[in-house]
Amino acid sequence: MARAAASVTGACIRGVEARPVTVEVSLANGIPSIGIVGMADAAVLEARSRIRCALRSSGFSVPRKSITVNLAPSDFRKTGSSLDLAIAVSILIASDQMPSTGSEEALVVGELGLDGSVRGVRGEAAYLVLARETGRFLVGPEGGGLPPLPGQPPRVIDRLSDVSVGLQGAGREPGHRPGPRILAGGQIDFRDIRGQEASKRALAVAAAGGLGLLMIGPPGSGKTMLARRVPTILPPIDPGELQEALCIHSVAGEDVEGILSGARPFRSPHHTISKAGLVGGGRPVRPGEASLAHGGVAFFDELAEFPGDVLQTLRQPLEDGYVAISRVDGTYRLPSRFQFLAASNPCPCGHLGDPSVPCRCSPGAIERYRSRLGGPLADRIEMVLDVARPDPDEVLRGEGGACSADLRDQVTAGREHSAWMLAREGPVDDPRGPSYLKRHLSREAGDRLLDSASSAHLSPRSMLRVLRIARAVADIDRRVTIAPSDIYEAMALRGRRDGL
Amino acid sequence: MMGAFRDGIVVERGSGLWPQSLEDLPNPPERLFVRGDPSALTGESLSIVGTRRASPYGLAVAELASRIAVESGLAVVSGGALGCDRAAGDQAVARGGVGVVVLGSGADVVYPRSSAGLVERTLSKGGAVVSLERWGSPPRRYAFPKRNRVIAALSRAVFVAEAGMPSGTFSTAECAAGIGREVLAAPGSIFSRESRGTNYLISVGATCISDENELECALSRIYGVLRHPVGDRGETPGSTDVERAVIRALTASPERIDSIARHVRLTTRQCLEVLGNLTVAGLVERMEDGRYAATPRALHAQTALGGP
Repeated sequence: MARAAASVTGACIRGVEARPVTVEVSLANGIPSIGIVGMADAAVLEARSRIRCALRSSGFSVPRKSITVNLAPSDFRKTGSSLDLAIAVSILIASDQMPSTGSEEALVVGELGLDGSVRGVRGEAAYLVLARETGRFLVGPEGGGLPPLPGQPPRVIDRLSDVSVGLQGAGREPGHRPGPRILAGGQIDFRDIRGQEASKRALAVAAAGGLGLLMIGPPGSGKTMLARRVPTILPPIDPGELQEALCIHSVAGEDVEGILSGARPFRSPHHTISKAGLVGGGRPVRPGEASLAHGGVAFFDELAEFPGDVLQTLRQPLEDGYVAISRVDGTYRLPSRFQFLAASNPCPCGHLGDPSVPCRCSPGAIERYRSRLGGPLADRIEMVLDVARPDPDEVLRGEGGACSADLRDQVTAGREHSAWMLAREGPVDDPRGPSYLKRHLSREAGDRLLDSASSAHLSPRSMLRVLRIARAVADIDRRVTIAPSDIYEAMALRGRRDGL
Repeated sequence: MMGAFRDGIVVERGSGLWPQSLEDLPNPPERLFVRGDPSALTGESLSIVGTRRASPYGLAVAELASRIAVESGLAVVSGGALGCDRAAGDQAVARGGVGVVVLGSGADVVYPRSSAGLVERTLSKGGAVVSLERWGSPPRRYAFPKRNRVIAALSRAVFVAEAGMPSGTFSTAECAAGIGREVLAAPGSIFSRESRGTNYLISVGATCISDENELECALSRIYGVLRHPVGDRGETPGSTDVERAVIRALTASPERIDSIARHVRLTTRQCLEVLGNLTVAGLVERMEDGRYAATPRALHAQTALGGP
């Protein structure tokens, strides 16, 4: 007589994290059938047909019983095909076709094929993290080659028949993986860009202070080249951020190769992107570009072309470092902390200030175009950087100037010093707010700031921006107090015009 | 709005208030719509014109010319548009002179709207705002060349502060030359797009105004007036050698930060600091395209007779 009941732990993705799901199976006499309860969506219900075929093709039999499958907890919606394997395994245990050894400590995740093969599912990294956090070992198909996390090593099964010996010792150890591939063509570096030293300095200060930066320049002046190199000057990604970034990319089905090789993400969404594409959404909820840029850089080219309501959705991630999406079944919290970079042409035709091509825009048209730039993100853009096409002579014969390693030292110093100061200060209400920034302002620097405010007609918000930039400059030099020279440099780096 | 403006009058051709200078035009207009004091139109004046997209250099030249005209007892006629026009008009009023603003829209319609302040100040200081168009007319494309003819005819001389190529300023200068008015022009850098028009005018016969004295001489020759000079000898402003070197580098034409740093032999950081400092001091400013230029104040301080 079969034991008639069994339970196995599976998991499915909710937002960017994996949630454990207890799969309970009960066999009873009655008309042979498989019924699934517990807020399962269409993909989970379809599992019945896949499981039936997979069991037969793997040499098992489908019990001629009324089979009830319960997915607990039943208060959130289970989506996707990741529960296939767990349901099949619990049916096998319940019908005594395999021993239950190890089913207490296993986390079973995988999709079944009709021929009994086990297929991968999106979000491998999230399942690995869940297995580690709950002290289980993952049983599933060969994955995308993630490095082993501390904890019990996962077991890899290629076919459903591999579980017939029980989950403990099923299948094999994960295959040995060589280290991440080094991308062909070598690493990009700021050394490739010549005659743009002021721009490099501005980007380093922005990265050190986590300040939003908008580049303005004609087409071909190198805005995208500069932006692409910003991830190379950020300090190495820390393990917590790395894990979050891995989960996000793996859940979204994006390549994780780059992140594994230590490169920070660089995302450049197109201006036709929807709100859900940018901050995440859909059903089931999936992360958007703002989350895929977590730990790295989000670059918004042609900022003026982005619709205002789409940019408006970026306010939350820029302020809080995460996106919260509220749905009937609760709130999804997607990590989203990134360096904000944007670029724009200087005018509708793009050639204002270009020495070789005349600009054909009227002053009024330029003003209207500019007014679209600031828009909803005006107070999230601390610096405006003017990028011009450098002298060809300089490009060919000039010296390389600062390289990524030099700039990375500056950024690392700035971030470390800023963290050190915050730790020393104790709890600070808002490290970007005026009361904290004013605490370490020399009297002379304060006077210079007031001079600047009256001569350049700075609004209180602009003064705050100057202070933030000056703080980043001081942090790069590992100085506690903001000096007058920092204020001057900040005034030049601010590079802001009226209306922006 | 039409015809309802409270302080406006219509001056008909042939009336006592009609400026006779307009009779020199091939087809003189039949009536002028005037706000303010119509006698401002009949006195001696200097017309100052220039590009709307003026560089700080062009603004400084327009201001300089306006100031000298006022000190020589002349009214300043301008078009009330952005850039040079407004700089000249504002400077005339600020110096206590009489301004005449010739609009392309109705005299009671302010276009561009940002010129509202200039119009108000001009009226309050005894100047006049004039138009060929009826009260309440919106700005129309065809109205502006007609307006330019009036600007050219009202004064005995037209001073071109800064003009690109091609430019609307040219129609004013051509019309002025056609009816025997003297055209004065300030030369600019040969690298500056905004100075091509003025340099061209000089090459085809406009009087070259290469410094303040020359403008003063030209005005005394044309109008038979003498100016009461004020101020003392100026030098390059700035408190350190480096600052002075940066301002000198920017006097001829605007430059990008990287080229300034190279020219003055500074590191990028030092250069940023100096520029920030000079910006706060009001001696350099950032242009719309990101280049830095010396401000009118820095340029005035370098002229022989001192700044405004």
